[in-house]
Amino acid sequence: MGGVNPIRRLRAVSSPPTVRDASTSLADAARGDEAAFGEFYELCAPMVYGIVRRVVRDPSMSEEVTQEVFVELWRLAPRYDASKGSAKSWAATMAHRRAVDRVRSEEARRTRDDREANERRVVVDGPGDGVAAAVDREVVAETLASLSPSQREAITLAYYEGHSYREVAALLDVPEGTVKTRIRDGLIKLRDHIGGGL
Amino acid sequence: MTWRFDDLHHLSAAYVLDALDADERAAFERHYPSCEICAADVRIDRETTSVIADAVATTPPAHLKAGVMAEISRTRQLPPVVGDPVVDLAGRRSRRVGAMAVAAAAVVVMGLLAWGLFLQQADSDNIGDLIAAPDSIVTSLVADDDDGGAVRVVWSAERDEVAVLGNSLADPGPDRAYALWLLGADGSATPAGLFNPNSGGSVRTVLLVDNETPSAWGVTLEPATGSPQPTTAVIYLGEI
Repeated sequence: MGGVNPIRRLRAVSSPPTVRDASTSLADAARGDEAAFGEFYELCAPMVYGIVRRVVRDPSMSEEVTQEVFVELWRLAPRYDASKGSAKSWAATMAHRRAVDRVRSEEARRTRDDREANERRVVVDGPGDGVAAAVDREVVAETLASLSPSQREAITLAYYEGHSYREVAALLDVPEGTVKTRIRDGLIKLRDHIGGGL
Repeated sequence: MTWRFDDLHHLSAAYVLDALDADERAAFERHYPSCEICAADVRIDRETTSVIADAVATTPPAHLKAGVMAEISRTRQLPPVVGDPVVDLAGRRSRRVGAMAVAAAAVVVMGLLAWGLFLQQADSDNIGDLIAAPDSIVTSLVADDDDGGAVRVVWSAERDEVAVLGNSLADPGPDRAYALWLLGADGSATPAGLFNPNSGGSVRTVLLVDNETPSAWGVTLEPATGSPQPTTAVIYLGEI
């Protein structure tokens, strides 16, 4: 593929040069340094809040989950093992897991679906939200551009909507094995596309 | 529910996207830390996933930070666990060395097997670096039959190294060994080296490759002394 790697370009824009990176801040926070944790928060909060908000939808519930995630990251910081991955991917892992666990109880899902319907109306009604959603869609589209439409669909439904692969299979009316394959091949393709960016 | 090895083996991506049901998630979490391939997959897939998370980054409300900072100042951190992964690995290593001593005392053949194990273990720190190398390319090789286990190859052209990770591989027998080949687009085959699975059928080793740009990886069974060209059919194949 020629030209500038869109994801690398995206990452360059979304993470401005900072003196310290998330892993350094977290290492200091692991020794009880609250100011360092504040720095870690600044570096990771947009990603954590963004993914929680995307999955949970409800703004106040999203704030609650985001706070829980950061308190948990603080609590576990001394046990963070850098050899298992970057601090940022650790934060993303915990954020998504918490968000999904929150919406996966049937009760919460119902509430979310109602709110989702409300939110859709808001997007139609309110120009501000509409613009934000459009920007959001554009960045996501750019990130997932290397995927085939069916891989993009499976990863979007699983990751951004928080559905299990069985739910995705039911939603799309395709075999469960097909969804697993699309998810796996999609992630492999993304990884290869991101390449040296990681 | 009973899980076949192959089922578990392909769940890394769905696991990392939190797309497994509770029982599958629990089964996979029991499995992957001790599976070379799955542990590497989870690590890589998590880094990829953080990029998908970044795509929806949203500035949180300003008051959220104050709430978080107030809460953490009231929250005690967990002490670091001394038995955590790093130390755990050392434990595993010393158990293996212990097993090695017993085996060597028993029979020469067993001693040789243990030596192979030791070599593989010595390489494993290297493998982490190789996976993390910016230019590393991971290729999953496809077996020519369904029961043939799994082989994954991680190659860094810059480091001139290739890691071979495998599980559930058949015992090649005393006179034969697995051989990894760099297959060129023109049909050429260059030997990358030999490897042997341990008694559990898994392999984790690093081979050196010099200035090569293969278009695919192939694995064949060869005489234990190696061959300049493949003498048997390719049993694992993966395009880069």
